[in-house]
Amino acid sequence: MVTDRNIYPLPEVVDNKDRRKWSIEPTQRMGARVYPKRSLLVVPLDASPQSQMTRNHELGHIRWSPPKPEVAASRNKLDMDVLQATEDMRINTKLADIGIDTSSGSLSNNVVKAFADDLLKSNNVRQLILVMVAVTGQGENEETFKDKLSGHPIGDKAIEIAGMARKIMWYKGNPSFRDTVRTAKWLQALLNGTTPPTRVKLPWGMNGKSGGADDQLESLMKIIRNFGTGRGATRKVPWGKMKIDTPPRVHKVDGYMGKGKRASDEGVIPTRPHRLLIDGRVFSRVRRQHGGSVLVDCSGSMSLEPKDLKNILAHSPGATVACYSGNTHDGVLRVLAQDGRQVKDEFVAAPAGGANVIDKPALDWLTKQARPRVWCCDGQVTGIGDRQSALNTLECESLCRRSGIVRRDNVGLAVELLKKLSRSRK
Amino acid sequence: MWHDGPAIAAWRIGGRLVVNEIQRGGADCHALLLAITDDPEIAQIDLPSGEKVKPAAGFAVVATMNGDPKEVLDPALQDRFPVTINIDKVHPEAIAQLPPDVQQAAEKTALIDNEERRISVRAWYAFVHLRQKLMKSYSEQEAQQLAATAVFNTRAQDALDALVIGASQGG
Repeated sequence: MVTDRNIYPLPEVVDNKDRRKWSIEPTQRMGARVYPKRSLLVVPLDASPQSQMTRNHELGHIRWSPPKPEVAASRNKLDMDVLQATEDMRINTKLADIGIDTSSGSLSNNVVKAFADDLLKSNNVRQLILVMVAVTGQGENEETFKDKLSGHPIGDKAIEIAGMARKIMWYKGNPSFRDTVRTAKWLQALLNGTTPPTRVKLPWGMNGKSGGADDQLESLMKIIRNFGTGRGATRKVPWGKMKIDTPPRVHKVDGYMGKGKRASDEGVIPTRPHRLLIDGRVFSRVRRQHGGSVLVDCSGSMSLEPKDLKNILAHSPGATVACYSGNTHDGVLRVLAQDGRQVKDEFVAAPAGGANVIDKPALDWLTKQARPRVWCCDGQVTGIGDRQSALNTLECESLCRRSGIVRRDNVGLAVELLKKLSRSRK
Repeated sequence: MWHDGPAIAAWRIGGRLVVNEIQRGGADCHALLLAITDDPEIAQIDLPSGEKVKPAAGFAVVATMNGDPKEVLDPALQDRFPVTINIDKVHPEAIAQLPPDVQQAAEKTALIDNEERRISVRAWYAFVHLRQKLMKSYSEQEAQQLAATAVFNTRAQDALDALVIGASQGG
């Protein structure tokens, strides 16, 4: 008869690799982990149901997780915390699926409540979502966490995202590590879009549209809801090749949309104290200059006519303006105006076919142009074959947020913004 | 009156003496084994009856033990056993007698170095037999739970869960 004071798990029984000698070290519940390369299992060894669940969770990692998940993370450009949370979800749900009792969860309810309170107080969207994903399948812990989060604007969305992640993971049934990577890519694309936005200097009152974490998350969730949790949600479509067309810019355009600062000897707040002994111009003065950039999507879904493009050109003096469209596998970005000069009217039209295909390469081009950056697009982006995917759409959204690109759905809204931008510049 | 024990009997007929669990023998036993396993040319024991006995040709000694001989046995006694065979696998026939669902577990847990963690093949046998008996009166799941609690004590649930996880498809 076995009579142990410490309750040791049996990693040898679940390990696929023969002849590996496991060592077990005791720890607290939060510190449990597996070191497959060292064959070391660090788990709590007491008799509580939570510790039992923790031990089973780690045995699940030994049985089902690869020994080097960091390699998969690096190969798929995934953040390690995203991959880990998703893998934890897979282990929890798989344990429940094969009949292991996961109802107790691996933490006491008080700890979970305190943890949830702390996360809600910090309003950390990323952490909230990742923890919600990681506790999915943890029985009582999951329920407690959901109770605490529900009713909170971001908490409700975190619950919905975790539910969708679970459906994506179990889409084909009995998920493997590949499904973890697939789900983690989807989650990573979503989380990338929730990163704090780069502040863009827009007319007063317009920043709020792209600023709030809650608003941003809601707009991202609209995208993922549209794509659902089927196979299409996580299948990324490669982007087409982009060719840049630069026709001669023969027309000179008057006016400025950009702004810059120059040293001045008059002002209120000295911003250049180092110039006191040089020329005394310690103040800054705003002046109008060439600047700003506008990118226009000329795909079929936008239904643009040359007069719409001319309208945009007319309201973005001195700015860099380009339009793009694509064929099945590639596309063309045409620069219509730059450095105060515009192309002939005959070039003011869609540069290629009626597909998108090169949205992301075109946005990459836009990120290298001067601020403020405006993208006139209805948000329907496509890759090769004019196919859509949640990952492609989220990738563009995230790039816009990171690079301070403001998107407007149609020409009317874009022109309205451009007018305000021109007016606000001194 | 003197009666030959297994060692002297083996000496007389040139037979093979098997010493089981040699590490459990005390100092007296090990001292006697030193004399028994001495070189055949010089080995000799004076019996209380006055008789002098020498090992007959063909005499050999085989000893078994658990653990590392270098850590447990006296170096002089170790030296008497020129050949050491390390058996790091449970006999396949012993494993084959167990039902398929516990074979792999028994094979792996019986070889764990840490005594506190090791579960012997005997314990698995006991579990299997008890489970089989209890299944006459209880459902399979109840019988399994009761048998595990009786045999594995506080580790019952861990052992059962490990069996379920180990039986699942990997990857």
